[in-house]
Order: sequence, then structure tokens, then C-alpha cells
Amino acid sequence: MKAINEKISHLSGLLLSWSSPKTISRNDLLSCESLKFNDEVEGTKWEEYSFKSNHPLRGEDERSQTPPYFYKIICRRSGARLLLLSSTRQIIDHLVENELNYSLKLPLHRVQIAVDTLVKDITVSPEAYVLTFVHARTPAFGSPLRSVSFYGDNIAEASFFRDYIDLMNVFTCGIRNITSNGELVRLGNDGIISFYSSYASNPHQLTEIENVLSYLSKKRYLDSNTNRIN
Amino acid sequence: MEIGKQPSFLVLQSKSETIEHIIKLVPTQKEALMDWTFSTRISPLLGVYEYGTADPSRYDFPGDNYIFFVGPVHPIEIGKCVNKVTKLWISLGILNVVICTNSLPEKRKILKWVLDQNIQYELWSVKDGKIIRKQSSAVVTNSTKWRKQLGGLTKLKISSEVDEAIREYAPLMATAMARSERIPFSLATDLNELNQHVMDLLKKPEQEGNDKYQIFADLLLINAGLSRFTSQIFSGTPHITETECHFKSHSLLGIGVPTIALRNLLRFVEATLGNALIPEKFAKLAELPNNQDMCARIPSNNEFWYEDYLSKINIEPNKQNKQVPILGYFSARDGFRSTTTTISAPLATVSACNSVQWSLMTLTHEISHIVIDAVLSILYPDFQSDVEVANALKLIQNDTIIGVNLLEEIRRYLFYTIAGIEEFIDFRSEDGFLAMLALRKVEVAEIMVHVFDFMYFYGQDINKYIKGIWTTWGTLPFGQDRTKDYVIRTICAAIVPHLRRSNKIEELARDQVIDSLKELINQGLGNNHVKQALKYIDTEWDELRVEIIKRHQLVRIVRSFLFSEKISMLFRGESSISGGEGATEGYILKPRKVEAKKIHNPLHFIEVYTTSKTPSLAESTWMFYILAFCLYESY
Repeated sequence: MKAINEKISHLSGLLLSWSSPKTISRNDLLSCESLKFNDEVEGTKWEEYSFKSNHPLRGEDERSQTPPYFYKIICRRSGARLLLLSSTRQIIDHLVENELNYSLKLPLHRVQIAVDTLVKDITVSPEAYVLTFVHARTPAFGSPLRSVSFYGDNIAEASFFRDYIDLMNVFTCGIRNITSNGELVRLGNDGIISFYSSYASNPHQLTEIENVLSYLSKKRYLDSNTNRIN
Repeated sequence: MEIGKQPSFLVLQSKSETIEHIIKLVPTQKEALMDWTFSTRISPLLGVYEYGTADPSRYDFPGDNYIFFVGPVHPIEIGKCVNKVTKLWISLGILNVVICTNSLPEKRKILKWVLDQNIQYELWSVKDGKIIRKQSSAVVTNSTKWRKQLGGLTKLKISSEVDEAIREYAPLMATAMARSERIPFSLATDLNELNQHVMDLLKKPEQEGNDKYQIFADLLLINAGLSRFTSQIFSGTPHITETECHFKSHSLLGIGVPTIALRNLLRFVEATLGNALIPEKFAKLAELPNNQDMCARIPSNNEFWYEDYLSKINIEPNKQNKQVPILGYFSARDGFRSTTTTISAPLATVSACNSVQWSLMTLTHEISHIVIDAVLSILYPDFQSDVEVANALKLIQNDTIIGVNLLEEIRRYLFYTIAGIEEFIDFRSEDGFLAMLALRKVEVAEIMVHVFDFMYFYGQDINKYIKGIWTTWGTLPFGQDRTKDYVIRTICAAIVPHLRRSNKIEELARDQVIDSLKELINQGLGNNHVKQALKYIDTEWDELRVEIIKRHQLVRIVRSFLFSEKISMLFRGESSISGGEGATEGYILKPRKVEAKKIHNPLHFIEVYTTSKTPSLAESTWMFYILAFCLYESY
């Protein structure tokens, strides 16, 4: 398999689980012949894999680049849960739907993240994280106003946002650590996770993402019994 | 788990020369009809791609087979224990998963799972298509309370008509209760509450000595609903060979899943209405002073019209005062119809609720009636009360009187509006006033219901609304006779987004309605009634415009005093979404894919996924499965 020397600036993917308490092992993932283990990310429990695909998944021009195509996959396994990331979500969608769900003993499900509840909780009583981005449906207003987006360093501090939060169904949010600058990660209701990557120079970033996931799990914002992927 | 596009048909029958039952699967209903006997019963089964059953097929169950009927259960759950080489289908019956295996170990594994999960089942051992052995879940006898209550009814002597209705009611309810005890989804609780309501109803003559014919009428409605409900949901339960459904195309297994879906939808609405408390809050507008002028003199862009009055009223939901659960059933004759204790949906929705013509969204019209009827009972005087009539009459006998509180001013505004519509009656005389109110009550209610439905359930999306109501009207045999009424109601609803404007409101609403109706024709959904409506608007606009202007204030009453964005959130909110735009408005469910993913808001789900022009049993079944098995809240 070709080595990939891909520098990824943005990571996007899915939080997944399978319907068994059994831990997902590296060997489980390697039962998929298109995946090859590369290395562990130094100083972390994260892993890098190469994914060989016969389909272009990042908009490659098939006339100038012939198959197979190789993509870097960043992975964190934890019990029955699995976070898979790559430079675009389409790569992860394809890997899961067309490869892993055939090679694994049990199909993977998307883990639903209760983003709406998370945002409303942060708004009422902020703890470790604050809001940097909110995208929501506004069903109360019907067709005159369907959805809204908010951007800022600490959105819930604005009374304008707090006044109307009860009229929103939030489906994507961005959060940052209260004590640091810059958005840490974006979370979607259906297990979508994305962030700007600097882990090559700052492996600590991956630990911070891990802390976010631990927080979500501890606070019961994660539901692994939903969003099955066929 | 992806279900097939077309059903096969499971056929059960006896030949005249023998009493043994024969089971077979045929690919078309026609094939079943060609071999029909006195005892034939059928039900459609939808196959599943993962189990190799998706295409309609013929199967005579050759050799030794074990056929399980299991349910009610989410197919994903039981799918975990069923080998992919085993045949699996889903049905609309309450025993909603049908499994066939010729492997003894597989049979034992499935049976163990079903017993461990305490799910209802019936298992047939079949040899060359003949049922040679049947076994089923153990019968559990639970409550004795309802048995005693129903037994006690036989002693009642109210009147010959009522007594006869009771003689029908008691065994009907006994059948429903006895069978519901074996099924989850709180069916037994629902039926217990309905039974308690009937018990209370029957106590009234002794306590109050009043209208026996009203009790008779109420009992008839309950009996009619209960009869259909029982047949539809409990047919195809153990012992299957003895429980035939009156709905002949589903006579073998019944339509338990659609009935549970309808029940869940109604329970969601009841819970939401119970939290919204719209009539109760509206009545409390009497506590808000009328700081303004007469409603009729306040400019249309004044913020008075756009305050969220209902959200200013705080009422704690009274959990003690729980309403009787409304019984939902399917009926070809009744169609969409609501009473105080029942709601029916057309039988056609069972195989066509994925299509706009047969959308379950039409139920929101019936739900809106429940609210608006309650609101009108607050606004209208009690005709039997001299005091109430006199007080109401005072409000319009003197043009200079202004309502002392907001509710009184709204009442005055309504009476003047009705007087404007019914212009040939002397509304200042008591007789004229009461006649005017009585004559126009149905029309007033209908217009207010349309505006309420448009705002709360269709989110003011005029194209979606017109598509919803006009395609449904197209299925009614009498649609064309009521073109004028339907056009007026539609344009009244379409006025809502333009209420802040001071002129040309009617023309703007008219133009939007015309565009939407023409779009229906372009989409092949506009039957003659749509063409007739367009012609009517074109040729009779001058008269129509006057009629709409006279009814304008009814729209304003709903918009300003019955609509609340906070309450709208209860009806339209859905946190189980992944996006805000697009055809599925954030849902990632795919038609015909039965998934474990759950939803919160069944009304929003129906609104989003009822878009097809073509009825499909498979897609309708999928929708019923989501409504029956995939709601977060259990009601």
C-alpha cells in the first residue's frame, strides 16, 4: 500500500458504535482489507490508518488520477465506540457504509449527540465549554423564518440568544474551552464531529477532543442506540 | 433493514372437504382471488432485502417449516436473533414480524428470544403448507376491576335505547380489554380510561336526571369506534385462525401497526394540547385589561395585534383533570372525522398515507376543531342562560361600548364580525342576535380552524397548506359542491402573512392561492375541483373579495389571540434532526428503511415525509412503523 504524506488541515467524521458491549479492537478494524494501520499518534491513544479506495472521495479528477486512491484516517477507539475522522466526511461515510459494515461482525451505528440539550444546558448553566457556533431550526415561526445561525466567542452571553433559545431546535454547535481561544470542535446531532486540525504539531489537541467526548459521555449527551448506518 | 417495494400476500384457507388450514404465499392479490374459498383470509406481507424476501414471490411452504408471527416488536430488535438465511417479512398486523425457517435450531433460538423478551407470538408447525400444530403465548388474565364494572352495567335500566346500546358496549369493551392486556403500548390503560368515562356518563342520569338521548348518541359513537378499533388492532392475534379482521384485504393479520401509529399520534397531540392549554389560557384573557381602543379601530400594523398574549398567561397543567384518551380507528365511511371521544382516518390511508391525497396531516384539521370549538364555547354565550345572552347582547347594542377586558373586547369584535357577515338580520334584537350566532357558528368555526391549522401545523407554508387541503378535498365525493366555501377558507388562511399591510391584502392572498392551485395542476394533483376553484376566483372575484373582507377579523382573532410562538414550538419542535434545510427538514430517515433511529415529533415527521403523488403500501407501512415503534416518548 502506498504511503500517504497528506497534511490535513481539517478533520471531519463520525462518532460510531456497535450494538455490543464488546470493545472494538484494532484487529476488528483491520478485518477490513482496505484499511492499513500506520502508526499511533505520539503521546496519545489515537491511531492513524490508510484507507485504499477505488472511488475518488475528495473530488479527485479520475482522468489525471487513476485508482486506487489513498486517504489518511485518524481514529480513536474506546470500548464499543469509535471516532473516525478524515479530511472530508464523505471518506468516512464511504469507509463505513461500503467497507466496515461488511467486514465487521456487527454493523456500526452513528452515535446521536443531543446537541439541542447540550446547547440549552450550556446556555442555562455554562460549565467547561462555551458556544462559538449554533445552527438551529426555528419551527415555531414556520416558513417565515426556518433556521438561524449564530457565531461568536461566547454566544450564550448574549441576551438576544438566551431570549430565543427556547424557540430553537439546535442541530449543530461549535464549542471552545472556557479558558482557551478558538473553537475546539463542531458537533452534529447525528454523530458528526469536525475541527481544524493542528495535531501534527500539537498532539495535545487530540487530548482536548477526547476530553470533550468524555464530557459528553459523562453528562449523557451520547446515545448509541440511534442512527443505524446500513 | 430495507423493505421491498411491493407486497406478497399471505393466504390462509380451508378447503371445503377438510377443516385443516392451508397456508401459502402468493405474489399478487389476483392470484389469491383466483383460488378464494369460503374461508380464505389474506394479508399483505412486505419482504426485507437483507432476508432475501423483498420481491413478491410464491411459496407453498414445502416440507417442514416453522412459521412465527411475533409482535408488536421493532423488526431491528428481532432481526438481531434471526439468521439472514431465514425468511423474514413484516406485516401491518399487531404480530408484525413473520418469520419462516425449516431449521430446528433456528426455531429454538427464535422461540427462546421471543420468550425471553416476553413478546406475543404464535408459532405454526407446517408440513407441505398444512398447519399441523399451533402454539402461542400464554394467556394472562390481569385486572378484575373492569370485569366487575362491565358486569355491573347489565343491571342498569336507563331507557330501552340506552340499555340496548349498553348491551352492545359491554361485550365490545370486554373483548377489547381482554385482548389489550396481552399487548404493550398502554392500550389497556387507554381503554380503562375510556371505560371509566362511559361509567361516569352512565351515572349522570341518576345524578342529574338529564338528556338520555345525548348519552345514547355518545354511546353509539363509542360503540362504532370501539367495534372498528377492536377488529382492526386485535385481529391476527392468537389464535390467529380465529380472529378475522373486517377489513377484508387485511383479514388475516389485521392492521394493528397503523392503529398503534394512529394512537401514538393522537397521544402526542393530546399531550401537546394538554401542555399548550390554549382554550384555558384564552379564557384567562379576561384577566388582562383592555388598554387599547376598540379592536376595529386599531391599525393593522399596531403591535397590539402581534403580542404573544397566550404566553403572558401562566397556568399549570392540571394533571388531575386528565382528558379521556381519544380512540383512533380507520373507517372508509367516516373518513377524517372527530367526535368528543373518537377520531377516524380513512381506510385508504392504511395503504396510501405516504401520498399527499391521503396524508395523516389532515388529522390536524380535526385537532384544530377541538381547540377552536372550545374557544368558541368561551366566546359564545350559553343560549340557555338569560344572563349570558343579555351580557353578550349588550356588547353590540351600543357602538360606543368598549370591552372592559381583552376577552370581552375580542367577544365584541367577533359579534360585530358575524353581524357583518349575516347582514340581513337585526342583530340588536335578542332573537336576531341568537339566530345570527347560530346560523354562522359552523362557518366561523371552519374559518378559524383553517387559520389555526395553517399557522400551527403547516408553519404558514402556503404551498404546503394548499397542497395538503386541496388534494384531500379532491378525494371527497362532495368536494365540487363546496367550491365557494373552500375558496373563502383558503384565502382567509393565506391572508395571515399579509396582516401587517394596510391595503391589497385580499389580492395578495388571492394571487398566492392562484399560484399554488396552478402548481397543483402542473404537478398532476389538480382534479376538476381545483380547476373549478380557479375559474370561480377568476369570474367571481368582486363578490368573493367582499365576502373575504367581511371575514377578515376572524383571521385576526386567531392570529393575534390564539397563536403563540412558544406554543407553536410544542407542536412543531423536533430535536431529532440533523439539518435545517432540504426536503426532509433535517431528518435523515430514508423511506422504506426501517431503522433504530427515533423521533420526537410524529406530526413533523408526517409533514415532512408525506410528499408523494403516488400511494405506496410499502412507504405507508414504513411511515406507520416509524410512528408505532420509533417515538422517544412512550404515551
